[in-house]
Amino acid sequence: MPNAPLKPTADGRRPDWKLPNVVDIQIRRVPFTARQYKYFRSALADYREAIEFLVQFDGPIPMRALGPALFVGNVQVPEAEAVKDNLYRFLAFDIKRLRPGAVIALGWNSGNESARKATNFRFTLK
Amino acid sequence: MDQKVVNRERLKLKDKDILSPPVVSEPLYQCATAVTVTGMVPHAQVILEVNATTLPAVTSGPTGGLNVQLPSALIAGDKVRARQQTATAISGWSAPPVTVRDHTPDFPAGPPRPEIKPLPLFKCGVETAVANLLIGGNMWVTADGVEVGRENGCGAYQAVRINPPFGLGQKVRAWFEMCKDPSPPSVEQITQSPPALLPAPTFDTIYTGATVVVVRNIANGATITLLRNGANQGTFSSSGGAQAIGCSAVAAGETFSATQQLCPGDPPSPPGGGTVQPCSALPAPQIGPVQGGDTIITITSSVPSATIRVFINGTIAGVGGAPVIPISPAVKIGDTIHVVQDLVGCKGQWASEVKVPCVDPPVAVNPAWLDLFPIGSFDYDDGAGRLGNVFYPAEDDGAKQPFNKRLAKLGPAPIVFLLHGRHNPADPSFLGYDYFQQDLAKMGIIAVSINSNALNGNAHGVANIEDRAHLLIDTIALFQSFNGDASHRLFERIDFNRTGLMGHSRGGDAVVTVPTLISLAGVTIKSVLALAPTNFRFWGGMSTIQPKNHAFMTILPAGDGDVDQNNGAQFYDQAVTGPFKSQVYVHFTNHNFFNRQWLYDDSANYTQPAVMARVEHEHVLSAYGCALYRASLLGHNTLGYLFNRQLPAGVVTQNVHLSFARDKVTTVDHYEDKNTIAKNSLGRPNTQLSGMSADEFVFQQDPGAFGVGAGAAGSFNDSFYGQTTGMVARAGRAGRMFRWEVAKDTSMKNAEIWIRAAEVTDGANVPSGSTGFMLGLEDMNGVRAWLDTNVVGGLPRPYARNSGMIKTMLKTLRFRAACFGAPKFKGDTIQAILIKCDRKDERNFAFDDLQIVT
Repeated sequence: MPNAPLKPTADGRRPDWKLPNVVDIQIRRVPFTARQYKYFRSALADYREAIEFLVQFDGPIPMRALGPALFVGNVQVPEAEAVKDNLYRFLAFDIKRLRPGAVIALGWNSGNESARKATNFRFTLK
Repeated sequence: MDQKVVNRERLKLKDKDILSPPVVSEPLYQCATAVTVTGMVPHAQVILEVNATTLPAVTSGPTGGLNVQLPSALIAGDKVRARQQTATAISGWSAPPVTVRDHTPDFPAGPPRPEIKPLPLFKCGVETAVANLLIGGNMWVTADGVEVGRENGCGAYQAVRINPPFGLGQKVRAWFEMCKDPSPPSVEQITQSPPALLPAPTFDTIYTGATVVVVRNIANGATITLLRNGANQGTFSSSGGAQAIGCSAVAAGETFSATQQLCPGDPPSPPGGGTVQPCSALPAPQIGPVQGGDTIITITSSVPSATIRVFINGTIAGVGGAPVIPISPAVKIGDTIHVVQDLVGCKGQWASEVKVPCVDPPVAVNPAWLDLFPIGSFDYDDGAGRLGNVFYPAEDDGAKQPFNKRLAKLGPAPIVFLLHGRHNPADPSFLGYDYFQQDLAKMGIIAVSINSNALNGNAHGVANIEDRAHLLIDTIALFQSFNGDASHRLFERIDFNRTGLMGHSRGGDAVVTVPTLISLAGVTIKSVLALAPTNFRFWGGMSTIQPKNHAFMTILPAGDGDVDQNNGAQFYDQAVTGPFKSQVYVHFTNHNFFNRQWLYDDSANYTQPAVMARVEHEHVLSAYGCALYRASLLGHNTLGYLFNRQLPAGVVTQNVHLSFARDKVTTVDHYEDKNTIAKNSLGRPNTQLSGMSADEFVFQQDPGAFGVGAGAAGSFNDSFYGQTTGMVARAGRAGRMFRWEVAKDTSMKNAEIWIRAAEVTDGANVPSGSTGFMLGLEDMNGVRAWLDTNVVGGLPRPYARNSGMIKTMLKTLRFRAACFGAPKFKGDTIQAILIKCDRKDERNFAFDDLQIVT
């Protein structure tokens, strides 16, 4: 999976960490199996299912230490992986905390409020 | 330190013709044939005594330092002291005498490695200088293997004449031995062609009465031709940089000029010049930190041939020359110190004035400067995803050199694994810590930097951190295989029971995780350094890992534009102390500049102050990181740097704010007991007096809040970024107090009170002007004595970054029990500790971790 190239801002001093727009979100309950490691058991190994948010963006996610996160109401969903260009799978494990109807927002794991934006999607399970 | 300059004449200082004892430089080792003495007034007679035998007096030069050759080599157990004498005064003996030691316990693998300075070396050079030497040993320089200079009985920094002069392209090394015990040679230097035209020398300002002129901007090995009022004063060889040249006392208006030259046939440089300034222009000398109990004053800036005079509360207490003046009596908290400098016929008109605080730690040798071994390196790649590079103590510098044999004879060496974070995988991020790896290798620690770019795709969250942790553990396993492979250069060279970890950004998250997961046989993690780490478990609603059973440090860039919540503070707060933990919160630093491959200034993502230069970032990591690993892996006494008892030289320490804790202390209150504000961690009552309104609050963010700077439930406001519970004393009227009762007759002998404290911000603004409070002790009769935060270094100002993310970041303040005093106060034992808020501009204060440390 190619990474989003580091594009500097107009002043050239820093990368542009502007998040892309969310085009679509598909939500469903999925079975989950944590990664098997040679040396230890994953902290996620107790989870058998998760809520999957398949998120289509209109551009790449910029590269930085923090990752993109969905905010479902007041629950942060930081577990994410690219499926293909501009399509990410987010997984939420603490399913009980997800409130039906909650507004879904996109942001970084922490930080700049202006970088977070509400989407037109709400949390509903079909 | 609050140092100001005042007019000397108005002070009416009580002066007397005294001399301070000079200082015999330490350490002194067996077989030394010279002793370095400093602190003399110009041209003093220096009298040395070895085991009660007085040696013939030697006259010092104009600059206050002297390397005295001895008639016979020192023997372990010898005691050496010195005094100085002028025509009108004689000092007492330096005390206590310096006891001569065997160097091998301190340097079991050989003496430190010589360092040629300054660089580069040039063809035709007739002198150079060598540093990092043991005083009194023998140093020599070779060019293409032939000895061209030697100084037996050298100083710690020694100039040496080169004869014949260097040729072009010669391979130059410095060598050293003490008691026939050789050090490794210096790094090999290749001599270069000098520039077509050397730069013009410059002069330090020359003042009336000076007997030394200082010429700068000199090439290593050049000769200087000095003119005074147009008359040639001679030609002087120089080891480069700055060169002090003695002269008769100068008068106002005289002129000096100088040129420099390397090869005889080449043209001299353009001349540089200076004019002697009047006596009235002679500035006050500058001094280093001073705190209650000190018996020396460190001079950080003075005119080289000056006599320095130190006054305590207006009375003469010491007279000598830079860099250190012993004083008597010892200074006490609240004393006023004045320091002046005089030249021949010129009485300085300005004095430096300092009010003595309780805590103002001295500047000490940077812990990263320990230089013992050449540095070898190699890359590794097992073809299965485990790749990176290694720096290690070697027989000589360079790739794939053999491991250092003398160190190997002492047993296997400790190892540190470094793990970078998420960055463009097109960049070799693992190469970005080479400076730190080399620091560790030259002091005897193997330093591995892991290439984790394979994990820098588009994956995020706990699983990605676990992937990184797994790679790190797998790399340790790979190095275990190297250690067991008789054909490998690291065969039986690694002590995995002395393993350290360092991780940056997501790598920091992973190194905190590894000790909770690793089960490899024979591996003991002794220390973990998390540099600007993320904390994906926290963001994902899981518990934050509690670092425990190892030393822990986090370095937090206050201007971090990427991991902008400074999540390492959560690890510090959660760490179980044992043997110690350390938080290094550094103003004017960003996320990226600790890694040489990470080029962008991330702090620019927000409107906030400009950060320090990249090299200053590196100095922070080197100094505090080496202090951590030397203490935890080598058993060196470097904890003072982490506990604010000494400052590392060469680091912008005024921007560094430390939190620290260690085991085996009495914790009075850490607020985690869920026993309300009315009771402390000793189970004893807390009392709020004189209108105090304080309570316990959660000090952390809400990971799911939509918006910046959102405090978690139970928090005081949105400005707290760690993960703990603490106390906030609300703003109110001046004089309000909080009292922690402790056990009756709690001993304060050699004790300190440690408390984490901060001025609470609202997250959006930094109020103008600093603030503070007082901390008090209450003796068994109920008598209280108080110390202000201003006399222990002060309460730091919040870092003025972008509005909404201005943090309430606590730091540890040390209050030394010996500083407390009041009429009828008997502070040997106490029954309570108090704080009193006494400022007119009252603000909210945050507190945590009140401890009694002995």
